[in-house]
Amino acid sequence: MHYSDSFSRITQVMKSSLIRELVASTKNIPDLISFAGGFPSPATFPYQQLASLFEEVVKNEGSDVLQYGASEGDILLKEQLMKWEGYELKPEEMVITVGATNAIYYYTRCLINPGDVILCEAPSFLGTLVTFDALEADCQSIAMDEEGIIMDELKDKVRTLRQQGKNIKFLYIIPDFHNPAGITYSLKRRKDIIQYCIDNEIPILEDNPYSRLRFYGESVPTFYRVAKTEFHPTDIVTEVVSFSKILGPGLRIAYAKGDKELIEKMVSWQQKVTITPDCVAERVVARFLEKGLMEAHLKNICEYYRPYLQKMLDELEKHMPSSVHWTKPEGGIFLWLTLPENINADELFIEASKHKVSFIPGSKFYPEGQERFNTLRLNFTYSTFEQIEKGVCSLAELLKAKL
Amino acid sequence: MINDLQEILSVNIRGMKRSAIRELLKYLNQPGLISFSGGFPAPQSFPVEELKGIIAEVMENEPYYALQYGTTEGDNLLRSQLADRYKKLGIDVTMDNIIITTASQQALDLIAKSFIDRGDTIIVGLPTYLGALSAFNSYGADMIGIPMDDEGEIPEIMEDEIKKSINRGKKPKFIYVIPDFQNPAGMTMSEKRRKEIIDIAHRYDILILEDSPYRELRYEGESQRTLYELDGTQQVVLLGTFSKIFCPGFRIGWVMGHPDVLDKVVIGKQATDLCTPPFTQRIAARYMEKGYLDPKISEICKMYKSKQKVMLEALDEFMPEEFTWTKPQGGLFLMATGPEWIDTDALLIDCIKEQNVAYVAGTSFFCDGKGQNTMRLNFSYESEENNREGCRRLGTFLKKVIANKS
Repeated sequence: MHYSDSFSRITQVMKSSLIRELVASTKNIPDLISFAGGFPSPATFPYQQLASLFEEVVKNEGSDVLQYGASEGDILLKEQLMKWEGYELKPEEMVITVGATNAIYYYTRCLINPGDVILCEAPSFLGTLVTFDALEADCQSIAMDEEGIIMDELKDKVRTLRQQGKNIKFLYIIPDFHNPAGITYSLKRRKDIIQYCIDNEIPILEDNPYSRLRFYGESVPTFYRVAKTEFHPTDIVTEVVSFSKILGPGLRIAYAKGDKELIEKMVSWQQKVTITPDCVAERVVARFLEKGLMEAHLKNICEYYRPYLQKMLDELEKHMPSSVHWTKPEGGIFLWLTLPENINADELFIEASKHKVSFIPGSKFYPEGQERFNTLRLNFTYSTFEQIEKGVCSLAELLKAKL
Repeated sequence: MINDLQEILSVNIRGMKRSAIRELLKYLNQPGLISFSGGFPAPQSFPVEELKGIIAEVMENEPYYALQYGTTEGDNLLRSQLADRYKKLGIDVTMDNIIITTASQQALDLIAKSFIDRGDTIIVGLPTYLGALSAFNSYGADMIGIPMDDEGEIPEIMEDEIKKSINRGKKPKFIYVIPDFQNPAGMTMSEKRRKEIIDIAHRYDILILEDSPYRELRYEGESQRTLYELDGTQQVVLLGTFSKIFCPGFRIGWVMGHPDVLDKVVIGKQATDLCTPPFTQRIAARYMEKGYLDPKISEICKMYKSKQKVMLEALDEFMPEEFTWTKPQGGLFLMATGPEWIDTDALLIDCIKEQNVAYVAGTSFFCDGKGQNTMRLNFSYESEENNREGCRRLGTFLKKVIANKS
């Protein structure tokens, strides 16, 4: 039978993640130095602690955690998360999900009808753009500077879209150690955006996988926290926090916190889609927090990653031509390079793979039709020092030859 | 700020009701409540000892794999274990015909997403699994319910409804069936019936979605071949799950079908949760590899057979004579039917309040809103003693309702 006739309209046009295809295209190159991935280093997984927790949880609480759990998430985990967050939060303001993508998916499904607008950053995280795309949202990107999306651009965009009669549903942002752009929003910009969004009734979806991975400097309070503590009323921000870069993505545990009516609707979707997240993994994370293991562990991760970031920054400084610019993040796992206007990173990607270096061309991080081609993303957490040295050097050579 | 959140909630979700089963689950905390409502396996069936060893081994030998991101298609080891198991049953599949989902509820959601546009027609049983109706409903499917006899959906009526739908310009997107120990009605399709349904699907070129969560839980009689096998042309998509034969806390299910269909399901899954936890998938794979699964299933069958027997005997003893019920050869549920005038939906809260026993009202399973005189009873979760006591309470309650009526 011809399935293609039966597929739903959205399925016929749906595209697989471009990054997955790009990464797949370089899979068979031997000795490839890849700065392309977004994987955390396995060396940061606290697997010995997790191993004993898994055993304990199954042994002591097996009949509970091996059974169906609650669609809103394990209450014990929520209690621990409330303590960890350190400010007033109620269980009904949180939902635990199968990774952050899952939370973003439910949030979007709650709010979006086909054709509705989502405001996002230029650039933005591709994985999320795929999720928005699959729900037929119209993604409109807003340019950023070092402190986040530019206020004037945001205002212009909202004005123009509303004049066109478009329905703007929410603003999607990654304020800490942005993927891919590497920047962190300033406190002032956070407040400006929150005030503007309150005035213009635009909910904010804050994606926060990296804020705990800070290697230098002072942390900036999340949008959720700023809204909650300094604005009134405070339900404009929904924050999604993931354990993927902290404890290991294989656990698939994340959570969203926000307005309780919205959270309840997200729970309704979870009930329809996966019924409940993985209950064993939920309880293990709960016990990990309860035993107070998180703080020391986060310190370990940051100490582990810091030299890799430093190494990459040093090598870029040493080898890159002066017309190439890059972000200097204080944490996270990515750097963002801006090349001279006339260099196309999509083409550079093909040449670089011949020289056994890989990265993700920046164009993949913009909604279709809004791309910038002279940018690229580098990951610094999945390579050795030697690979960073060699890889950055070859990339610089290639660029010099083109200039 | 958002004064009326409903305003910005999409039309999709505005009319969405929390599913009846989950609402009921809230009552599970009432002290002394005997619940026949959920589809929960017995906690005694969980392989705690085996799991302890396997978890330790996985964390010792392959922690980096288990804790890292996995592919959207699922753990290749688990996929090949599953394929091998089907091959041993004589079904011609490879790993490429199988992908892993975050339990079979997600598979239902992804299949619905892959095929259903708002207003599309699909064919379901009257009654059928509530979670499937809810998944299809969330994509705006127009569901045509097919009445059932002792062997499942009645083919003549099914064909007739398909023809009518085609004449309206709406060829059904798929036929959803639960051929083994149907939830909630309990019947198992004979091979003849399976073939008749497959013939209809071939004649009108319609996909079959075979949901198979209870297939392995057979307490008597002979196992029937799957529609997937009988069809042999991959026009059937089969959904499987570990929830009832391993443990539901590990959210693992699978979709078996034509690679063209699986491709679309995988793309949909990328946008939903990227991948099912590699950690739990690998544990399940090692569990199968060590040969634990099949002996465990035999053990579970023995346990549930006995629980079912106790419930059937207690129903005989305590239920009012106006009631009848199914006697399925497997699965987790019985379905009881009362006199036409009884409304199990309206009675449920009273039943819990007065007698501290819960069931699922049948209407939830009927896409046409009928079935108000039916109820689904689960016999796997409560102890044998509670199964008996719960039936006594239920019988007492229903006898009173009937006495008050006359």
